[in-house]
Formats: sequence, structure tokens, C-alpha cells
Amino acid sequence: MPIRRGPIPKTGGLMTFIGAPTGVVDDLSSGMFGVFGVPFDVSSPDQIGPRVAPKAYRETSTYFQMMTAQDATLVEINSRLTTDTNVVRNLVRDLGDLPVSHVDWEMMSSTLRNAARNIASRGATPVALGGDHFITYPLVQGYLEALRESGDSSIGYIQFSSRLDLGDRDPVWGDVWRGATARRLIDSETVRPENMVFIGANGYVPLEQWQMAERLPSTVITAEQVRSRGIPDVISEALERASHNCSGVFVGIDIDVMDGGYVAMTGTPRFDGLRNVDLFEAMPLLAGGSVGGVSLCGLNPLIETMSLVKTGQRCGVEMLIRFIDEKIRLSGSYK
Amino acid sequence: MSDQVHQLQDIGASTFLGSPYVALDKVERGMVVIGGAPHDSTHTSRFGTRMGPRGIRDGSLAMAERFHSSGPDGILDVASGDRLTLPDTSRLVDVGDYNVYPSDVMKSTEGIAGGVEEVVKRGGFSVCLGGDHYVGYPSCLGYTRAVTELSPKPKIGYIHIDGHLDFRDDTPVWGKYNHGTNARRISELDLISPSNMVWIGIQGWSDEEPVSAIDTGGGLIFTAADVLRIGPEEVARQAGERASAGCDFIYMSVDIDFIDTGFFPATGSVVNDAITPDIMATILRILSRYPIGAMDFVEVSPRIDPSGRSMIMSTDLLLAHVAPRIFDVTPSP
Repeated sequence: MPIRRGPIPKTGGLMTFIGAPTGVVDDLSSGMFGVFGVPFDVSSPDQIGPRVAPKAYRETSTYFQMMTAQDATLVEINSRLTTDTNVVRNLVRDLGDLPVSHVDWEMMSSTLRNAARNIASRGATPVALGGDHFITYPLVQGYLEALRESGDSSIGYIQFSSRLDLGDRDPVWGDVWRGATARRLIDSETVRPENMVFIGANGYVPLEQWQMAERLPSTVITAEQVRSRGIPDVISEALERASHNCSGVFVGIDIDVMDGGYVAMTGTPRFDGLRNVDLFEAMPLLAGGSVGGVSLCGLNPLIETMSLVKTGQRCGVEMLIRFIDEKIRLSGSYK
Repeated sequence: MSDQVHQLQDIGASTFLGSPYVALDKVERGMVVIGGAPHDSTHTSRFGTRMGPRGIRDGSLAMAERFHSSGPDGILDVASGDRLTLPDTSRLVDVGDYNVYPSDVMKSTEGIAGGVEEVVKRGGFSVCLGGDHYVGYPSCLGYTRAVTELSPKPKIGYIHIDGHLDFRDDTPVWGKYNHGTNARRISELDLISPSNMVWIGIQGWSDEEPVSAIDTGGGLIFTAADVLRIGPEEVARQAGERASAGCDFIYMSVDIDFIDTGFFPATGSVVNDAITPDIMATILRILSRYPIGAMDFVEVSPRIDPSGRSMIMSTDLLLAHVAPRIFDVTPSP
């Protein structure tokens, strides 16, 4: 690779996720991570902007030392766990952005399904940089298709969001919109309700969705319950329920699950949400479960004075790094 | 500052808290001396901290008006119940900015170190406003040069409040003198005792070598998670005790990216660690009980925060530490 060979500033070189090598799906194999952008936000009912989030994540990720460290080994300062950056470099590929159609949802959903399926069927972990939250629906479908190729038939779904996203058909947006992600997963029988876990709901949610969640055998853990129980207990229960009789779990993260004080750049800022460090604590725990795919959605870099303050993208990048790092560690690749 | 007539906060020379602007040779014993180091050519990512000193001074004017219009009874520190009044002769002065040279790091180093040295030799408490965090090194260098005249064989402790260790020895692009190596260079100064070096607020990932070097030297690291778990009061107390154990003086270096960027947006290095400004203020307030003789306050990058709140907040943070030095304090009855 011509990039990251010699000493260059952190801000130089090609802008890939954490400076990882670029690649295509064929480069992936078991234990690897296929990172791809989905610059799609047409299903956001309010402010357009998540389409530029993949670029923002990549730009911000260059400030992390994952590929530019002077030493090959990094230390996470709190846990003192070490990360071998050479191993990370070998296992992560930036696949670029998916070809997005803002006018043809059928084509778009097909593209998303294929991407998740092709990556997961190679034994790699799809990591999607959204985009608005609706992209998670076809991504989870694709992930299920990949597991079915191996003979497995069921997957679980853990959603981090300030809302439930159990909305039905919208008068304006129809079936395809951000607030219907989880509803479509149920309707399409992609995930059984008992294997769905909703973490972080707070503030006001539509009564119809709340009543639906109560009727379903799904698990809802509000932001307030996260605060009282603590992340380790919540994630333990979430993994147990989502993976029950399932061979894999997909995690969909809407970044608005975090309090607006920490991440302001979302169309739906909430002020009773989780802390950024809660998500940092959760990601390695999720990596220890049977989570085989992740989507990170809802960041709108165009809000908050042209994204001068990069809290949201930095937070998202650090969450994904903590997930990827722990998954590599558990695989035994860091000798 | 008490010598000034009342005026609107946006009028007049922009000195810190509207304090008198004086030449270096007018600094006297007991003064708190604000000096700027508008230097950011050693910042490795997002430039802009060269505007820090000016931004902090501008941000302080809102608070200045509050003090100047407070009347003879002064103002009340609501948290402590203490009453703060301005002395007849200001103990806070501003000497303007030290000499910096964007194309010559060593020349800037001497410019900043020379200014701080002069302040401390004259008995002032030096507050050096960055600039990127590299200026912590020349500021501390000037301090160590000056204290050799105050004590025959002084030993100096060091407290580093920051989201990052800044303890790399060298970097491939930026070399040995930049905002990621400043604490390492400080550790190499003769008077600094490595086992009296304390870090508060570190988060994320670091190269392995700096962590090992700190451990080997006997330094103490409190991570941001430690601060949240142990509490800022206890962390500050333990840090103050460790830094001052067997030492005559302490130098303190304060990087505002200790605070979560969601609450303090004006900084080049974005940090997500759930540390609020109040936590930092608590730590700085408690550390004012220890023999700190000079400090820097760095990495404020005003143009990243068009709201201006970070620069206004900087005044509160600085006052948390220096208020007992510049006000007459009547304790809560």
C-alpha cells in the first residue's frame, strides 16, 4: 500500500477508516472486518445530513493512532489492555461507500442486503457507517441471508436508540422511513420479537409504539434503567435474550441514544440519554457475544456549526474501535 | 483591575478580567501574572490555539464586568459561601503575550521561558495561556530556571491535567518538541522529580513506551474513569499529596481537553470522556491548597467554538484556582 508507509502527519494521506487499507469484498476472510459507508439519508423525516457522516467518521478516525502509532503496540490507558496495530491493519478493510440511490429504494435495499450478506458469508464482520437508521433494516436482512447459507435460520437484534423505531406506515414517507426500522424487521420476519432488545429509549415515544413493545415478547431497557442497573448487567441480559436460539446477533446503533450534551449533531437530540462512556463500556462487551454485524447511524455532521465540534464522529469511531479491538483480542490474534 | 472605571464589557483593552496591563519589570511579589503564548505550530492536528490567549481574555470580560460592578461588598461564591472582594491594588496583572516565532520552535521556547522566568523571579505567580500544549514545556522550563534563585537545591513536583499523557519521546513527523512530548521534556529537567509527576484525566489509547516510562519513573496516572469513579475531590487531594511529597514547589499544566468536548468545544483534540467543567473546577480549586508556583492553561482554540462559551468558561476554570490569590476572601460565616 502506498499509504502510511513513511512518517506523515495524522491529517495526511488517503482518508480511510482508521487509516486501514482499502479493499473489496473478495479480500475478506474469517475474522476480518469490512467497513463501508452508506451515504443515504432520504428516509430521515427532518434534516438531511447523515449522508456525509461516513466521510466525517473517516476524517475523524485519522486522529486515532490505530495505524499511525510510533510503536506497533498501543495501550488502552484505563484497562491497560494492549492493541497490536499490525494485527488491526491486517484484519480491517475499508470497502469505500456503497453505490447509493436516493430515488430508488428497491435498488438501495438490494445493495445493502447484498453488502451485508457478501461480507458476512465470508466470515467477516460487516461494519456500516450510516446514513440514517433505516439502512439497518436491509443490512440485518442481508446478515440473516448469509447465516442461512450456512444452515442457520435465526438471528437476534439489539438496538441502541433514543426511540423504539417501531413506527408503521408514515402518511408522508410510506413504509420506508427511519422510525420504522424495527417494525419492518418484525413484519418481514427477519428477527423474532423475542430476540429483539431495545436499549436507551428515553423522553417521549409514541404511545402506539410503546404499547406494541409491551405486547411483544421483546425486551425494552430504557436509558433510566441503564443508569440504575449499569452497562455490564444490561448488556449481559441483552446478549442472552438476543442470542437465545440464534446463531448471530446484529447491533444497530442510532447515535441519538447518547445525550445531546455529548453528541449534538443529530436530527433528534435528546437530553436524558446515555453517556458516551456508557457506549464505550458496552462495545467490548458486545464483542464478547455472538454479535456479527454493526451499523452506526443517525449522525448528522451538518448540524452543530458545520461540524466544527467533532464529538459525534469521534464518539462513533471510538465505539467501533473498541468493538473491533475486543473482537480481535478474543479471537486470539494478538498473541 | 480595581483602578478602572466602570465600562461596558466589550469596551477597552482586552486584558484578562480587565486587569492592569503592565510591563514585565513592573511585576511584584504576590501578583498573579497572566502571560500569553500564542503558539500552535507544534500542534499535530487542528491548528487554532494561537488565538487562545486573545480568546480567553475576550471571554473573561463578561466576568470582569460582574466584579467591577459588584460594589464594596464584593461577590459571593455560591458554592462555598465565601465573599470575594477586590483589593485596593490589583493583585492580578496581564503582561500581554510572550515572544513566539512560528517558524522556529527553539526560539519560541526561549521567548516563553524567558517571560515566565522573569515573572517568577520577581515573585509573581505565572499563568501562561496557550497556545498548544507544547508551551507547557517552555513555561515549566522558565519556572525551573527562576526557582533555582529562590531555593538552593529545589525539587519540583508536576501535575498534568489532560486527556492525554503527552509523554512521547519523539514522533516521526514532529520530532521531539511538540504538543505530544511536552511532559516528557519536562520530566528531563534537572529539578523535576519523575516520581512526583502526576497525570489526571487520561483517556483512550497511548503508545506503550510512554506508559512504561511513566511507570518506571514512579509517576502516578489517574485516568478519566478514575476521576469519575473516585471523585474529583479525592483525586485532587491524592495528586496534590503525591506531587508535593518531598518537593519545594509544584508546576501545574492544564489542558482543557481533559473536559469532554461536548461541554468544552473549543479544542483541536476532541475527547469523549464524560468529564464536565465542574469536575475540572473542583480539582483546580482543591489544588490551590498545594504549593503550586506556576501553571499553564492550554489548547483553547476559539474559532472551533463560535458560541464563545468555552472561552467564557475558561475564566471560571482559572478563577477556581487563582481566586484566593487575587481576591480578599471572607470565609462563609
